[in-house]
Amino acid sequence: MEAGEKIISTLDASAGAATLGSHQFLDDFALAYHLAVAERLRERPDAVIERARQNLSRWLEGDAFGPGERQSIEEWRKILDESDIGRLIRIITDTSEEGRRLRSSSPFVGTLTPEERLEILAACEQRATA
Amino acid sequence: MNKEQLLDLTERVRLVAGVKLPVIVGSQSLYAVTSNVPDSVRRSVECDFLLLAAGPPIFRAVIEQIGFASSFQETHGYYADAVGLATVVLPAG
Repeated sequence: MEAGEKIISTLDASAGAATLGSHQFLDDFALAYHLAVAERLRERPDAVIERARQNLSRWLEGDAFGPGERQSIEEWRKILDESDIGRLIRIITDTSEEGRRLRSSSPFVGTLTPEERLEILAACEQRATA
Repeated sequence: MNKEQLLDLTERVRLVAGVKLPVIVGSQSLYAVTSNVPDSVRRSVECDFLLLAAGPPIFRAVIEQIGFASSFQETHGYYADAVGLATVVLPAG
């Protein structure tokens, strides 16, 4: 999968390419990652959602997360329970501040392989230095 | 993120970035003055670390090892964002 090139080509070039060490770069990277997750959701929705649910359950295990820390996890659990695939994709690729906020606590980590994740990171860097 | 998680993350940033004292910026820095932080701080699963004089290799290492969507986040549920001075807005004084 040439995830990086494909995803980066869909990022809004007019927004400008931020450099490593900036919030904008981190936001761009998270969006690019979720554009790839959206592709996986279209291809294998059940497997992707099941993995996201497993992440949420694992983070709730034990007492590491108190009531305050659990809020973002519960928020995502509710989204997964109540959303069809189309709505999920809209949420994770939403470019608004609310979309950025939700991506920051996304349960879709691990949807892509580590290699695919690094490919997207490298593509974001390349875009930033082009 | 609770205080224990923040301290864990700070230690990991110290090791990954090779800095003695990572600077916590953003909302999580409230833990420096109180443990009774607002819900908005507790519910956040990320923390911004200001890495002075860091270059691309260090920023990249933090993202790769303990950043967003890393194996670390998948395991623990929280992660670090490394930022440079240019991206941080500090109050005067």
